[in-house]
Amino acid sequence: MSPYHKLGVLVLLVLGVFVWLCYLLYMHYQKDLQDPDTPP
Amino acid sequence: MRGILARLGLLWLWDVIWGRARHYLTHYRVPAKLGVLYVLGACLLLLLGLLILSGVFLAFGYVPSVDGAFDSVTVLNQNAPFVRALHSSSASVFFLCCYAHMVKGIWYGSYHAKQGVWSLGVFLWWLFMMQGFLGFVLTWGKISYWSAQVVLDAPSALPWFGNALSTILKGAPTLSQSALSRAHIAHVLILPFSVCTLVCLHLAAIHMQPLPQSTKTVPFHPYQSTKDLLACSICLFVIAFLVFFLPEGFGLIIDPDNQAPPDATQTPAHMRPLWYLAPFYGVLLAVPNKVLGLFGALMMACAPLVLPHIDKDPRPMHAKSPLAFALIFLVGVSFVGLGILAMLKTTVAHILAMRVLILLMCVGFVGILPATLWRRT
Repeated sequence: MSPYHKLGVLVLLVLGVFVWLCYLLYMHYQKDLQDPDTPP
Repeated sequence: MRGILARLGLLWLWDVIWGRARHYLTHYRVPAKLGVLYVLGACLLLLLGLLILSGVFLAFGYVPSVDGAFDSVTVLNQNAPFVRALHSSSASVFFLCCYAHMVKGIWYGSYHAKQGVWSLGVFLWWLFMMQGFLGFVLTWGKISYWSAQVVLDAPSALPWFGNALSTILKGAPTLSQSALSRAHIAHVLILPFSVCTLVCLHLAAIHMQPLPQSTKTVPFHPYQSTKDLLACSICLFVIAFLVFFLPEGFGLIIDPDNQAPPDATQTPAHMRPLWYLAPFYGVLLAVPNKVLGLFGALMMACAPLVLPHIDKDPRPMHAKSPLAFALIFLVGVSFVGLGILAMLKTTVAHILAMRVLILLMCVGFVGILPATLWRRT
């Protein structure tokens, strides 16, 4: 594996964690919308 | 950031900018149940930013001369593969999102309620296509040279002023330095500024659009902004994968045949166009008369602008009559099919199939008006 591809794996790992954190944030706010008794 | 500005005594500037942005984003309201396709606008903004940023870095190493252009692109490929791959991959993903964004507008019938926004979007699509094509020409490889030759020679088929128009576009009777200089200036200066201006107008037009009273709304931030952030992060992940592991994208992002210097004496046996311009190339290829082919390609580019006026049923696609749905679907499928066939090797069977698809597209498009009128009555 070339250094360029190694860097690619590292970047993808970092971005994968970023996507997961964004998903958690998104789900946190979506819960508010799903509850009909607590309008935002 | 806040700490640095505090040390410089510019904290008030931070408070003004951040305070206004926060106030605007929390007070700007969007419908509570926006579909998943509504995140594409944010993805397009991100990709436009990436294209501008990578384009600036590429411009540092690009030599806009007929003798140096191809070599400078080869050197950029060797010394800055990341930047080159980022620019080309972002362009392809950008067009993918752009077409999906347009399909979203057609699916929800957005062009009825937001006709100004739709028209500005169509103008932007034209500019993006020009930008994409000129970027391809700037690589000055074998295929891009002959593509420029075909496209810039196409207006010469027009009667009376055709030859003059072709010469004005090229800057000389033949494809030479003046054509490359024009393409370079348009790609790095004129079109980016025009695109940015139109994007601002497009966004302003969306934000000024009033929402129906009955619609349940939520603040843009944090409910829609977090959704946009998630979509942008996925988009970045896809771009990174393409940049590091699939920079040529099976020949769709960077054409391997274009990795050879231009040869003005030998026409390539097969010229594969950029995938996002392939349907237009298909029309030029399939229509036997040059003027008619040019006219057909121009009409195809103008078709989305006419759509709000010929579709008289303002409901979304799934609520339209089956006939209107089928006709709009037929136009879309023919457009995609035409693009796929134009990418393949040119054979008699492919040309015939492309002619059938053009005919189907025309029939479908012309049929939309009576189909939607009939439903209304």
